[in-house]
Amino acid sequence: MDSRDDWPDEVLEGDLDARSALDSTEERSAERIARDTRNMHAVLSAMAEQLGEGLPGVVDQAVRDEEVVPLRGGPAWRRRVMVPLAAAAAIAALILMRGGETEEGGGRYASVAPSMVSEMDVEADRPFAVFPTTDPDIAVVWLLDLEESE
Amino acid sequence: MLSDREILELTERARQGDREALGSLAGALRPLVCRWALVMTGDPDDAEDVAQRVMMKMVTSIGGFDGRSKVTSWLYRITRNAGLDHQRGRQREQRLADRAEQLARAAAPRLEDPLDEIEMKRTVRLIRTFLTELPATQREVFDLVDLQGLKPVEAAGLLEMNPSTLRVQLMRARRRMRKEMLARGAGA
Repeated sequence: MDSRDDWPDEVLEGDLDARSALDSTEERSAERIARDTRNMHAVLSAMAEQLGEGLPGVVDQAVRDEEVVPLRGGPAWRRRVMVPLAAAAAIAALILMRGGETEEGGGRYASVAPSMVSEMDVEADRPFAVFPTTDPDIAVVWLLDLEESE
Repeated sequence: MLSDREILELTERARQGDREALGSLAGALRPLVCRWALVMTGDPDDAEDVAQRVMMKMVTSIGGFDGRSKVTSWLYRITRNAGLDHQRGRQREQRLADRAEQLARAAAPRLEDPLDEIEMKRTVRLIRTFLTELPATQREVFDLVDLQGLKPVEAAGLLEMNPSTLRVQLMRARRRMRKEMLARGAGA
């Protein structure tokens, strides 16, 4: 048994194939390490396989039961995103039109509101909605939290 | 084990709601998840709990997987988070070691190249040391690079670790494990 701890770095830390500088004893040690490493890998893999088979069938059951919802693009995603978006847009339009009504006497929203409602740029696949205003330099960008809506 | 390409195809089908593909994917990745869980927790009982939680999470969340990374990277992160919940004190070491040894021996008949009794004994002792004496990060790094053969940069990506840090952890793990291997007799 050899328990010395002054093995060269090639054996203790480095690439086992870099054996050119090793003497025959050290080379045997490197082979020993390589064999032990292979054996450990094989036994750990067998252990993992055995553990996997021992898992209760709840996972398989879940696979059968689970409705997988694609992250984007599917009808379910569109429903989940579009419904709150449409509701939010309707509320925004209502607020803006009311703002227009109250500003009839000469307010700053009066001329903006109709344009914002009619030119709203909303697409299902985009995580934001753009509301242009009559001022070409100003647009309202509405960021949607997709994760929250999921 | 399926090829990377097959896993990619199954993942894509599973993301679109194909249950058969999801079942095949779960079946194919289960041993890998168990392996990670075993290495992370160092305890077969905890590993079973963790693996089950990870597989459930995978089944219920595959639709939310964005496909920008490999599904195994995504799953590894889930396993790590689940594994962290299972970190407990060291007083269970003896029980863990016994349980790990028991499982290793029970797994012996599954080996493609069966080990003789002496080799098996050595290997079981080494696994016992590996699971109970190495810190969790060193276990993960050693398993991914030296045992499973990932390139260090790939392992660093999986572990979300700086490659230099990984190298330090790997050296420490190698030093510990290789000393153990050599102390048990280079010629055995």
